[in-house]
Amino acid sequence: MGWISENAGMIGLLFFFSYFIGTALWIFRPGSKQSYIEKSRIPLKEDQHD
Amino acid sequence: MITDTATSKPVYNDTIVKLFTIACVFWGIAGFTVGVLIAAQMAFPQLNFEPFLTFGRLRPLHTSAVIFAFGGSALFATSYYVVQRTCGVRLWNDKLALFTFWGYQAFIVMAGLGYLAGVTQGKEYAEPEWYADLWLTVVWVAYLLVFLMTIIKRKEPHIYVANWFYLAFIITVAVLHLGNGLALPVSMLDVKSYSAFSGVQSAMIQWWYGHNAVGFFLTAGFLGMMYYFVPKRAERPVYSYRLSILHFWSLIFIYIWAGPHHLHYTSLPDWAQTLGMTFSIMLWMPSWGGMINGMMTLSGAWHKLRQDPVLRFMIISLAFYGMSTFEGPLMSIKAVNSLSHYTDWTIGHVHSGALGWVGFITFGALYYMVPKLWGRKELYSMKLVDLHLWIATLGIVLYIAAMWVSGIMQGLMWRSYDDMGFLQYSFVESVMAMHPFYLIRVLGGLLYLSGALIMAYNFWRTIRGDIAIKEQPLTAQGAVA
Repeated sequence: MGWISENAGMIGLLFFFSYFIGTALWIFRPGSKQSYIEKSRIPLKEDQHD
Repeated sequence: MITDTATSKPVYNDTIVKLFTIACVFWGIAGFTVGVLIAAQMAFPQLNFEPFLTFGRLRPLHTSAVIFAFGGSALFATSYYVVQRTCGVRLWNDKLALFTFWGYQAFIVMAGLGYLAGVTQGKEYAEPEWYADLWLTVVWVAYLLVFLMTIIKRKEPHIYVANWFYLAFIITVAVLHLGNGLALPVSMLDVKSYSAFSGVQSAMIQWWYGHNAVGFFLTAGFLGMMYYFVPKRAERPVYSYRLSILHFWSLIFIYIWAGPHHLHYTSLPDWAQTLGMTFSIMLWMPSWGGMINGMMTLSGAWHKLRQDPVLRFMIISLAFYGMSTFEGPLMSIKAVNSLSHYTDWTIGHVHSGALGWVGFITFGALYYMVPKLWGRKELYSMKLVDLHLWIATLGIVLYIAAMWVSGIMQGLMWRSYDDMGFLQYSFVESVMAMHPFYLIRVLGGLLYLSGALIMAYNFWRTIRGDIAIKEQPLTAQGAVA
């Protein structure tokens, strides 16, 4: 526990930074383009019952 | 309500959205009016009426009325509208949703009456005393529950990005409110309390709260609005969904660190000041990414801007968002801040964000929602929307240009020395030099308020079911929604 609290700043920085880089890489994974196009159309889908 | 119970289509709870929409228009006009009054007090000190109507008491009444009453009601209304439609389900728990309405209105009245009576914690944007803070906590937890439970029982597998922004706004505002509001009342029957923090820690916690009130209340929440209403009105999906995800994570990871830029050249340690400045400059990236994403939604359909004043409101709001999020990081740079801090430049900056971005995206969303909520085909008059747009835009330009000139002049006068090393100007000389700009600001505020009154009239006629006779061809031509 002592080691974790002493290095909390660095651990936090690495965690959040790698989370962000991971997200950035994840959204550009091959073959995902179509799924994001579909997701972007969610607000337009409900037009039929609006 | 156009949805039909005879079909399998979901029937939304639009009553709660209507209530918050009406509250939003009402508080907007109230808050803008107090703004015009205190602007006039700056130009004509005789307009201070002791003790209740002095600048010191009315200023928090103005900021709370426009941020929490007008902006807050807009966020409640649109978040409830958007979450139901993008999740394909009715809002969770009608009674609790109704409680969030009356509970939130009660908080606004409680806080506002307190300010007039001189009851305040003295923390900017966190002025309500402990009893109002505790009540708001209860209401906010109910809001989180209603919103989150609606998302949990959604029919749409993916949570649309607008809801991410709304949820980040609700959760972060809860954390900020609890952190900065920690205080001990003098007694259970006393309105006065003392903060749990003191000294420079207190200042840092206050501006961690204050800047994230801007970042999460006035930015993340309203970006949620943008990500739904711009695509709806333009009838096109957002320019890049991937960019919207990057926008979300970078915005919430970076904003939370920017607070120390409010404490440049104070007793806050230098490293913390530099940290705040660095993160503020990094905010250029997500802010402009988001602005580009919103504007480029119109890519290939720019002609819609010519036909539809409601869409113009939304796109001009994004232009102001881009402008004020360029200006903010610029002002956070220590060298620039040494000139701009404590001057009217700051007031101008806040208002280009508040009047331009927050106000205009709200007006755009309201103009979109009102005909749909009350089952009308279109608004009463598109020409009045156009009139509102130009009057309000002119008002903002007058306001912020006056504050730029006045603020930079004020900052330069404060730091002018003569040959002997004495200050060249007394403080009162700088105040006298600002008088003409204070007058321009009053005029700008009056124009902005007039625009809101035109909007209220337009809504009144729309809700009654009227359509301006002269405009039949225009509405047919401009019927893009």
